Amino acid sequence: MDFDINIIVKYWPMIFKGFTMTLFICAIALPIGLILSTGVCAIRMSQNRVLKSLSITFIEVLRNTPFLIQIFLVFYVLPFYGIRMKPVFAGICCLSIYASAYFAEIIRGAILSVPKNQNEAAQALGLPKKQIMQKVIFPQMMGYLIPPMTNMGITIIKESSVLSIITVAELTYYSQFVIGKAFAPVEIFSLVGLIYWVITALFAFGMKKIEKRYDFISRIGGTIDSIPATR
Amino acid sequence: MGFDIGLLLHSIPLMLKGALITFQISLIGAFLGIVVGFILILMRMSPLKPVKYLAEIYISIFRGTPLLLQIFFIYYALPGLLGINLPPFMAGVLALSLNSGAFVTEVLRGGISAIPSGQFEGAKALGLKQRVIWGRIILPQVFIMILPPLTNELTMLVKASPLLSVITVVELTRTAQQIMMSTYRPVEVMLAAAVLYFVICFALTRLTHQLKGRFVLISGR
Repeated sequence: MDFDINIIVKYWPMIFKGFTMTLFICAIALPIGLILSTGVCAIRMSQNRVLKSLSITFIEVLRNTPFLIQIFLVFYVLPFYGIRMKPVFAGICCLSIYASAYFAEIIRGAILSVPKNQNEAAQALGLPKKQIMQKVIFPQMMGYLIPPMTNMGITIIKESSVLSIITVAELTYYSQFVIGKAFAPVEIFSLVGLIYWVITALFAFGMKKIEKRYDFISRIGGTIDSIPATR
Repeated sequence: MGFDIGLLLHSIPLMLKGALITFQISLIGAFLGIVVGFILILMRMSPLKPVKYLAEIYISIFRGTPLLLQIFFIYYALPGLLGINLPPFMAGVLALSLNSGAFVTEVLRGGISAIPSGQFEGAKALGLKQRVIWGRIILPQVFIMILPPLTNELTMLVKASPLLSVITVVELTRTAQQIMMSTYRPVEVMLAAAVLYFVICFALTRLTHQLKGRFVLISGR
């Protein structure tokens, strides 16, 4: 079996189209997931019993069912109730909501990892709640937050390939499309695998940079404002 | 749009059969995943640099690309490369196992590094053979310790197994799709599939928590 580079050259424009779509989906779903998750986490940690159990249900259901089934529920079941969405839109919605459930638990874990007496000491000093969160809890939870966030982010990027099943024209979809035309599964799947690998590697690299940048900021006593705190 | 209970009751035996196959696939995948993970950790501990790098490359590839793509590669590309015939079920289980191994090896590494070095030294001082040290002293402790993350891995595999429906493995998702196609009623069937998956995964998640609690008791920490 020989590796035919011409096929890659010939079909590169299509693969590239899929690549931009995958980037587009992830670039929207990840931030939205993060924003949603802060809300979910805030409710999960609130005192209100009803809201709390609602958010627990939300998180557990999303975390204990396969992503593919969630997509099918949105894509096949919702239209029966009059809610019709384009595949891309349905896909981005599903991916953001799916991400938010996992992110929320990661954020909660990170907050709980900060020793309790830090919170108590800050309260004893009379700091307002907002400041306790921003200046005491938030900087200390970053160490517990970023590594699992990196892993989950990578999982979400990889999970976006599942959207090809509901005909979202992203990278995996185009790879199948091209294989249908050229019948060169080895070349195309290797190329597409490499592209995904580069995306996830770059993402991990970027997150490492944020981790480092945060270290620098903590040394001079500031905080990051680009990542929303949990309130 | 009404909810057709009759259809639901009618399709439940088939769905349960699908769920059983899903669970079987996940169990086989998890078991073979442990085997692959173990081979990988041996390769990583090897003094030979190329063997070590090979394991690292394997792990990086399987962790850095989507499972769906790996399934496609093994189902569509591998038979041509190796000149063998892979039925969908085999290809699917192979993909799940190879993928799982890349994640399980990390779990195994964590377990082994959590064993106090005194255990190795004590066993060596007693003059035990390398095989006995690993088989009788280190691995039994590692295995108890990593039981919770391993059940977690099984949960992950149950959640990943619907992807096999794409290469026509008739498990729970594929069964649900088939019923959906023949009855044109996605609401009941998809909800039932979701509930079944939830029950399996939630039970496994609870089991993980239980095992974690037990481990705390065993280690006395």
